[in-house]
Amino acid sequence: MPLNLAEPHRAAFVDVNRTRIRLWEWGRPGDPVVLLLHGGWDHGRMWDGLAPEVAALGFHVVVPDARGHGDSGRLSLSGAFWPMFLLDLAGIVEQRGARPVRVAGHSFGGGLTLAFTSAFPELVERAVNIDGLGPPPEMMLVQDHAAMAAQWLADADRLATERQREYPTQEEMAEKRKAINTRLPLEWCEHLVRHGTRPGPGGGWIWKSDPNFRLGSPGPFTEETLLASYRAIRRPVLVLTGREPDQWSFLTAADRDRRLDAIGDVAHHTVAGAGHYVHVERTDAVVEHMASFFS
Amino acid sequence: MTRLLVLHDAGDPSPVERWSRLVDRWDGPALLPVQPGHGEVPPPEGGNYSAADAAVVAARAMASAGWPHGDDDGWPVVVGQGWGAYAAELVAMAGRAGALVLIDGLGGPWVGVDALVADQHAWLHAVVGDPDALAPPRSSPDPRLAHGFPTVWERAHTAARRAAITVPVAAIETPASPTPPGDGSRRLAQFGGDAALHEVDALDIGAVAAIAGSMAGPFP
Repeated sequence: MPLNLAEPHRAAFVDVNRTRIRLWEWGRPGDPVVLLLHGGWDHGRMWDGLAPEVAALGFHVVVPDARGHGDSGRLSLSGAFWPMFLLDLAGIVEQRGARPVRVAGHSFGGGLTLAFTSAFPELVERAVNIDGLGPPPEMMLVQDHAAMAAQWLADADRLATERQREYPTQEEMAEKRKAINTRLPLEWCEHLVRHGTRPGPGGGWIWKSDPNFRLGSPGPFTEETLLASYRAIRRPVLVLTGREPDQWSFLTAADRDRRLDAIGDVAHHTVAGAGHYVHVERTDAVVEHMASFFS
Repeated sequence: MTRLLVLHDAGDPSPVERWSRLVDRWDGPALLPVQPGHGEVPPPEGGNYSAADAAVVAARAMASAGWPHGDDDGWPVVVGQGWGAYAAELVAMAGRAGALVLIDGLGGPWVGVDALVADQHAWLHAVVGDPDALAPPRSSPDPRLAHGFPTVWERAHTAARRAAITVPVAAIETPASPTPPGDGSRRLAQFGGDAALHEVDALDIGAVAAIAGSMAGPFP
């Protein structure tokens, strides 16, 4: 049974920061802007459930496909380079002429939300982070720099030459996604597949996401630099996490608390009946939090 | 015949003119990949100039030239300047260099993580505030490169990364180097293999050729 979700009010492309970004929009231009930032490997249509409800609160909701995702421009040769995402967001805010904006993001998009708020306080009024306080410290710790670099360059070689995996049907892709995100309802997996795939050269289907997003190039990205970025945030932040166990909510309580403590003005709420995809599983609760926090 | 790979600096207005003199002197196969946004090469789609991208360009140039691992000539001596030196370190970390010559590549002043983040924020603001850096470039080198790069010189990360570089390293430091005076030899000690420092008054291609030649392999 497909989800019965309305189409976005408007769809556009904008050219910013030397790339082309797909924007999905709900609500009236001129109302205060809320940017919604999706997670890694997802795309803007992830917000199809929440966005119209936020627009109904009196906001102009602007939802980009991040570069390397959905219909937006591709990543560079070596993979994702964090500052490029932030320049893209600054360009989007400039394009929509609505600074400062409210921003909310999920998972990787939650990380972008905090990094953007930290870097551009003049562009952001308030920020909501949905289960996006970064990877666990052990995942950020590089044990063997030589092996990591060799793997990165070998992966870059491979991704440049191999054909992207093609699936015979979109149904198979949705089932695979469901097996990975067990708490995400199947109809949501189908929705993400419907808007996140395109026909492949062999008559099947391939994901729109740029395979280079999996490349982790060497750089000084550590727990300490993440905390330093959080310490530089000068705007109020609301963090929402699900209360239910989920394999994609992988921070321990101690790790999460240490990161929350690094943010100066932060409130944290847990949401019952939700795992990692809080905005999907408990759209009502997230809308309620946003209504209160953004108004 | 030892191979040579040259990685020019970001924003170099004439990388071919500068480095072809080294390539011409080299007694063996040599590659000088001109990076996107330099010389006649179009800018990268998306406007990203990370050194990691430069390392991928270098790896692809080697592969295109048929420089596979395991043949008799092995991996090249990699000469890199500035940003190109950082890319050269990444190539070496990945096991695709036989030796490194780093010209003004030992890095800027050490920063803590808070300064690292502040510098990245300053760079973002500089780019956002410069219409020429945002717009598609109409000149080469790309005006975006005038803003340089956010610092990566956090000491602990650099030390851990450089310990993974076990091939011989020669560092050539000129007065233009961003490395604080007197810090060069301490930084060399971070590398996992033999390392030598050459402090010179000016960049002389003949001297670079001699140093690179002294490191000639073949390297396994």
